[in-house]
Amino acid sequence: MAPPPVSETLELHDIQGLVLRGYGTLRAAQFLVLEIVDDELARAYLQGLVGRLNLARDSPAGVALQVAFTAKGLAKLGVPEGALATFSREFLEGMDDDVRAVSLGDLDGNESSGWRWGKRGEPMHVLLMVYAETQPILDRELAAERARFAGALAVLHERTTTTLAGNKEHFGWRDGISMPTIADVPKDPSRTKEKTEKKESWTDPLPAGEFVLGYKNDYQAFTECPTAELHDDPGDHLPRVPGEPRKSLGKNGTYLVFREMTQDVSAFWSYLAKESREPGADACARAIALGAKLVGRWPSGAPLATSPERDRPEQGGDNEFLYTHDTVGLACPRGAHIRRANPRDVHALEDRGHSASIAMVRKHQMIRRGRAFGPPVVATMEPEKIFAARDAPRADRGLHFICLVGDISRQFEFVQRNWIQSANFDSLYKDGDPLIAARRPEGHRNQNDEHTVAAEPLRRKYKRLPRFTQLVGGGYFFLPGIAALKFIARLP
Amino acid sequence: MHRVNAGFTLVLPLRPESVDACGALLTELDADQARLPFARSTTTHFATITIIPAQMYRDRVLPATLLFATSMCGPVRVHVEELVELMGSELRVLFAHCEGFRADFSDGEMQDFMLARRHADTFYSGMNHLSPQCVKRHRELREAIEQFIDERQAQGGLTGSASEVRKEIQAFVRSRPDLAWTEERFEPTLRAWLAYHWRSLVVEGFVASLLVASVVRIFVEAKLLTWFVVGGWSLVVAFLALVVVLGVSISRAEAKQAFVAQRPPDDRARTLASMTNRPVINEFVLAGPIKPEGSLRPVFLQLAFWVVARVVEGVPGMYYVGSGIDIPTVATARWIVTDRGRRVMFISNFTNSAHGYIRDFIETRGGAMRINLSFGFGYGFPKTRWIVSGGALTDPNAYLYSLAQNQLPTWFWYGPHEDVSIDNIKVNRKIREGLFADLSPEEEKQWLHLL
Repeated sequence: MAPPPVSETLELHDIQGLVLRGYGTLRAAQFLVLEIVDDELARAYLQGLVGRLNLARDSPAGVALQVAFTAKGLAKLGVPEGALATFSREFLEGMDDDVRAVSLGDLDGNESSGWRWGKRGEPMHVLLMVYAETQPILDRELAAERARFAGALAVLHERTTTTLAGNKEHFGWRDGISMPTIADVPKDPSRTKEKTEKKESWTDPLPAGEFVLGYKNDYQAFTECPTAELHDDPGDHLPRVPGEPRKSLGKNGTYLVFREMTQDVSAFWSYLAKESREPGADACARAIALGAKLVGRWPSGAPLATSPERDRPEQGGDNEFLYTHDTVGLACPRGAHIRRANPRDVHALEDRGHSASIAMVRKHQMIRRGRAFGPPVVATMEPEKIFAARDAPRADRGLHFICLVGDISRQFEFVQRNWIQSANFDSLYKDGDPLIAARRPEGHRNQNDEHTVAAEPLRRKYKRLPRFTQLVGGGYFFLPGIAALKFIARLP
Repeated sequence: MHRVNAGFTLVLPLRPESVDACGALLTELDADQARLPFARSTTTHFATITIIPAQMYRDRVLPATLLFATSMCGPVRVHVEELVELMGSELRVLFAHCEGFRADFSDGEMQDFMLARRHADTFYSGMNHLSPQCVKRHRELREAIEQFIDERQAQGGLTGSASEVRKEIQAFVRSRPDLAWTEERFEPTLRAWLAYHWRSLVVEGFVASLLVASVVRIFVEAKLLTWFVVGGWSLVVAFLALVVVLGVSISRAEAKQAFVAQRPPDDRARTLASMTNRPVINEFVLAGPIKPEGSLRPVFLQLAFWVVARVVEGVPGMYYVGSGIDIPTVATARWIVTDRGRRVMFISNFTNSAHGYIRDFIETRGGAMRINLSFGFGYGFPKTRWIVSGGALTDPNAYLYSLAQNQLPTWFWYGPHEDVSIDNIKVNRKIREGLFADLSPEEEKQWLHLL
């Protein structure tokens, strides 16, 4: 594999904006899953789209468009076979692959055969992501884009989104707090000052190559980066690979993992209300306390690691904590969702120290850009009110989990298999991720439907956890750099 | 009888005309594992039987061989006797495909054949001093205690101090006749300890004697003592000189390396991934020629793995007595240097997917350097510098490609501990060890946190 071009700083003019920002101010969004019905018209549409995409260097002005492709989509657009083969195997095979389904745990109710979209055989080619400040603006933009791609692309699925109060997800917990930052990106001066005054931290920025292809990653090496033959690019859109007779197709691009999961808010809160043995003044407080033990944070986002007894909203954005003094999990259970998804300084401690754990964990980070969908149970998203409304009729609601990674296998798939889905994570015995793991109940090989809450003198074990989430769609996409998109749009 | 874990490895050249038939037989045996009833073996943790195809080293053909490798416990003679007793007839058919084996061997002759052809390996076990029965019993013990705790907690019990709770658990275990074995001695005996460490003890004893003798020689004139000191130091100097010569030779060879592995075909990678996709414990085999550059590389390799084996065993008195290395994800692993140092095989039984497992080791600088030392000789491995630098440290992609290039399908695998991780096995062992042990109040608290 030829090395990709070397860059010292991020080429923000060539990177789609989603890499750097989640468009939090653009509260309305819709994701269109599209089929290419006319290759030539589709390329023509993409030529026009290039100028309308929000770039990483520009703040969005009320609206942002982003575009990504499946492997099938790239093939349909005419990316030469030899170039296509240089994309990662995971991307080429897709999320719905049989072997991958076992590895990711997309079984036991999460099988792709039951998905709403992304099923095998579906002609899913393009993902168009449209963000806007308000719903009317979004509707207008969507209508305009639909008119532009009419005849070229057909809408297979429209994935609507919603923004919940307090940056929460539907269960009522604040989401998106722990987010890696990318080195070599200019920051807000006040944040830069804050960082420079602190000692070296596990939240120090990661090399750009962890998330953007064509840059050095945390190994100080280059992640696999797709390339093309020189003659594939007669328009000379793509940068050269230094010292190699090839062009870089991946430069400034990234892989986008999309998983749509429904959330059964009623089942979640009913279980908390019925089963909680956590301390609390009343049933609601006890339910919230158990919820916190499942999540690893209080509803405000305050981490159990630093606030084990009660919610402290003033700590809601805290992300600097470690588990050094809580290896047993008395404050934050070892199997709690956020500890599994990011074990920080306590990963595989048997033969390694805390700093080695951090070095390892940093190699499995993801930039998350998810959005909720469906109506909230309670508009204010206050946990007490969601608790009170737990018997309300169920509605279709959930989370569009979206993450950006340089290496699907090392980042997303590793975390999903080894940390989220595993019943044996961190010496646990029958505990899968309490929120998002597919449940394997008693009698099943490698049962994972328990949750262990460490306590003195003895743990409390919660058994027969129901399924709180269900995977209903997904796919692997490539979010190209602008030069690569121009190349794709001009393919013969 | 001790429960020291070891590798029992046979590397048997296949008769050229038998390779296909042997493959067909292994396919049948894997599909019908009752024909090789390792499940009834009291001494086998894992078993791998596979065919290593003919491979090229420079212009030399390394022959196709049958690799028969068990992760065993106890005296090797007992293990072999048990295998022959349990599955002698099938093994006879299997080994008949190999050079030097006669189908009309009696059971005794077959045992002699297996013991005589046992191949040296560098073996690691995360389950040392455990038998398969120990693993099974420890799990049953844990399940019984967990159930007792659940039931007592449901009744509002077990709320006293750690010491009181532990006493209740002890009383429960004592009340169960099926758990009476928990009161038997469990710690390894001195004999077991010696059986594991004798090689390291010989080396350590020699070095210690030499140091003592050198000091004594300053004050005492004695011919025998002088010979021992001079001879001993000559050996040490010769060993160090050999290491330097080999190091320089390897360094020169490193600079000449021509081939670095490229990304393997996706369908091959997918097939290999599908073979190591079990939820908890997986197994894989690597086998391939060493890098062709460097005539002394085979010598270095054999020496290096001998040293690694001693390090893995641990050096008694210097650091952790029992095992020198603790690898959280590995149940057992072994390196086998064959064909006079020209080919190396590696077998591991581990917790994880293969891809996650092999990445795990290069995520820290120290880990990547150890990988360079233990895999950097393999054909296609990225260029190392001074054996431990470069390589996987600077080119992790090529490291992954080289392992994929050398990974081979396993024709037959036996692994009874399928749904418990090696971490679980270690925790279950600690539960058993601490159940009736004399613990401090703090240790009692920690013991309860194992449950």
